[in-house]
Amino acid sequence: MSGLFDLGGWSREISAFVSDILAWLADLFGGWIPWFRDVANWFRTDVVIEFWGFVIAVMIMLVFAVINLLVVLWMERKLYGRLQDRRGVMVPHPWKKIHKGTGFLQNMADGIKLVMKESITPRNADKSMFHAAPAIIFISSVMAYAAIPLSTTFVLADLELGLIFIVAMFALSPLAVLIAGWASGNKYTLIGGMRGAAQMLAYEIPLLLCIAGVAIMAGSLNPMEVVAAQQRTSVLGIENWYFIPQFIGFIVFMVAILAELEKLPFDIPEAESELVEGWLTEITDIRFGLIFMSKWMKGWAAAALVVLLFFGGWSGPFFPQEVWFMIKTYIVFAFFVWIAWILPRIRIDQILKIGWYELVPLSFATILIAVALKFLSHFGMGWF
Amino acid sequence: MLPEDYLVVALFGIVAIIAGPVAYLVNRWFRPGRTLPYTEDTYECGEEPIGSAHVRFNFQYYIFAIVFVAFDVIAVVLLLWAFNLAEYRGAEALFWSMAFVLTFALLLGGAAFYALMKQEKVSA
Repeated sequence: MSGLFDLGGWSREISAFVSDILAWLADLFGGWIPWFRDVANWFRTDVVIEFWGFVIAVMIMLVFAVINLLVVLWMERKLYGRLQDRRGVMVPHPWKKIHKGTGFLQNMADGIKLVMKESITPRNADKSMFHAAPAIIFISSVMAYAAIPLSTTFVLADLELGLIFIVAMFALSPLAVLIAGWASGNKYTLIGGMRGAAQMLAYEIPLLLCIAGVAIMAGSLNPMEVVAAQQRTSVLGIENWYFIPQFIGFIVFMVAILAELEKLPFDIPEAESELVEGWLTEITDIRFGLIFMSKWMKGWAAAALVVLLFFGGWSGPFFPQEVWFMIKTYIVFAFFVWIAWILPRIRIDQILKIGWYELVPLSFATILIAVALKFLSHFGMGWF
Repeated sequence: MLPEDYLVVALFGIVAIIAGPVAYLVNRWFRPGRTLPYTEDTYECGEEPIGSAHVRFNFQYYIFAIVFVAFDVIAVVLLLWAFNLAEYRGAEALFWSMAFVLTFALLLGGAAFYALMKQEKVSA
């Protein structure tokens, strides 16, 4: 199936439509205000239409990111509520005595609440860095959405190095964790920030090597082409989704991406039971809200990355591409939630052990498998 | 190809960079402004904070940071090689490129693993 939404094309059409309206206004008022016609003509040039098309596309993607954030947040809260034998978030309906479906509003209420919270900057904090760190985390998480394609047409920037771009944006946030931990001037945040840095060292390499394994098989670092490579049929007569030939890589990637998200088995930098709230201890008001938002934004982006790399992206029968992609990402995200809320937290030396002595050798194995499959396929003997 | 592709990304980045400070500003309009004498104290579970947190911190995982650099080089080389894989046409070119890259990766990886094993022996 083809894609439903043509992000670039539609944005350009909206932009052209707006410039048509401006031209019509210029014809109407051009007689009275002479420079108005010049402005309208400038708005009708191709470059300007293209530019506003880009701006509209960016806005559409941001709106998608925020709505998707609300859905994902609601999903997580409901799911772990069920895992803990509760019903999860519910808000009483204002006038009817029902609770069904109203829990979705809870996240918006939380957002409004965080905007209205008192802002506390500790006296001992390094003020500029303390205020910059939440913004860095938010910016890096949002930026990852620029390169994630939802279908062959719903994509903001079709980058040759899209996968590297997404991972680079992911890798920025541990830096901000370290900055926030140091700048808060609190002992708990300091330990949390240092743990964040150590954890990042442990999982970053397996993550990159697994992506390299997929890239060797697909022959490209563009997510679109990785998905296209997975749509070719393999020897089994089905679509060649990479979680079968790259099964080891898939497992390693899942573990590493959970560590990247600071989800529960690996939320060592936060560790509520030891470090109050870890590196977040001193952060209040909307700064906390931005970090909270970017956590779930990154959560969906990570699920999207898993789907793009290992589950054939948007390929599937009957439904449009976007529908398949969203279904798959939500399933992967639900899997993240499931893992996060049934497993206890591991220690900091344990994640270093897992990262360096288990994940790194296994990810080297995935590289060797990928190279071997690529080499065999050159002689028509391979998997694909 | 490059500037046009990354123009959208740059725009997206600008919007994202504006969004953070705007959120801070909105918060400034709506939040309560009262401060108590102990509001700005460092949080230490209700106790009066002892000493500063801007101290020399013993980062126990220093060897991992060193080894990380070696592995990072491998990862970058492998990613760039994967990116250019389509350039190697013919079985022979493919074989030699694979042989070179894998030799490089295994040499550096072997050295890094040796360092890790030694670290384990020292810490144990």
